[in-house]
Amino acid sequence: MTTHVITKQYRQNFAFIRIKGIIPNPVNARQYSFDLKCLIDTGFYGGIYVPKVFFANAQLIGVTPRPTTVTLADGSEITAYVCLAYLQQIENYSFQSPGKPIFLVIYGHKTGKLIGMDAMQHFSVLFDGSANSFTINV
Amino acid sequence: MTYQIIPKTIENLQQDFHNTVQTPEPFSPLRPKIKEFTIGLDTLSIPKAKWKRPIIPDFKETLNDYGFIISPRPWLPPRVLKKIEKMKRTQLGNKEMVTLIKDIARRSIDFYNLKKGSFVAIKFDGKIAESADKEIDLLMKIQGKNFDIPVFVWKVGSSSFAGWKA
Repeated sequence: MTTHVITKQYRQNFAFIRIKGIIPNPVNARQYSFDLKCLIDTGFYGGIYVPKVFFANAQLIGVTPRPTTVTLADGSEITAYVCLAYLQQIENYSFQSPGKPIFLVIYGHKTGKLIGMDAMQHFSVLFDGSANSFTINV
Repeated sequence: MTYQIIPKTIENLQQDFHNTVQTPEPFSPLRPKIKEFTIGLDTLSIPKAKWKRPIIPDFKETLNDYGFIISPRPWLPPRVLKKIEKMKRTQLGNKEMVTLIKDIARRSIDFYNLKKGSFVAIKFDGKIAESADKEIDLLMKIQGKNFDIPVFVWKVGSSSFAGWKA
């Protein structure tokens, strides 16, 4: 088994990666593709955290994200929406089609995009604080 | 060319009858239409009856009579029902929505005695729409589906679907 290694420098002391994925609709076989620059957040349980504009984008292909409550890092509980997505690409590495299944957490009040622990179970990340860099092994 | 007139004997008539019976005519749109009969009624002389609501039999009782078992639904208190009604009209605030989801989830999970750690899609009337052991499997099951009542997702035995609380 060959591993693909991606090494990147921190940007403003944070680890950002570029990802590509899709929100599928298995009923009508339509999909919505997205391309995001996400912050790696080991304190976030979900797959990918995206702003509320994704709610409307998912509805365009007939997918209704489902409401639920999510506990934030400060312990507060919020109402967010979740739906299934497939992670297809990290930086220049592409996963086999259809990609790795993850769950999107859609929440409207912040515009930040995070990649959490659920998505990171498909690859390993090694942080090197002294070199201000991180390495992803896929 | 000469035409012969065949006399209509009983035998000939029988032959004709059998021919017509044994070989039915194929259906064609040109079949003669049945005349519509109208009965001349003096509608003005009939007194106008008041409109009455038709008696509809209780659907639930009818189903029970035929041997169908209707799954019971968890009892929801009036406070929760009021919030559900309010949700249909306006958008609920964050806190209201969180408490509503929690109330329905806890009641239905206790009612159906679900396994801790599993993930369920619960309708806002308290019924379980889908369930799975993993959140991804649950989302795969409900993605793109339309339900008669909106559903939310929940982790059984947890305070929320995602996140960690000390």
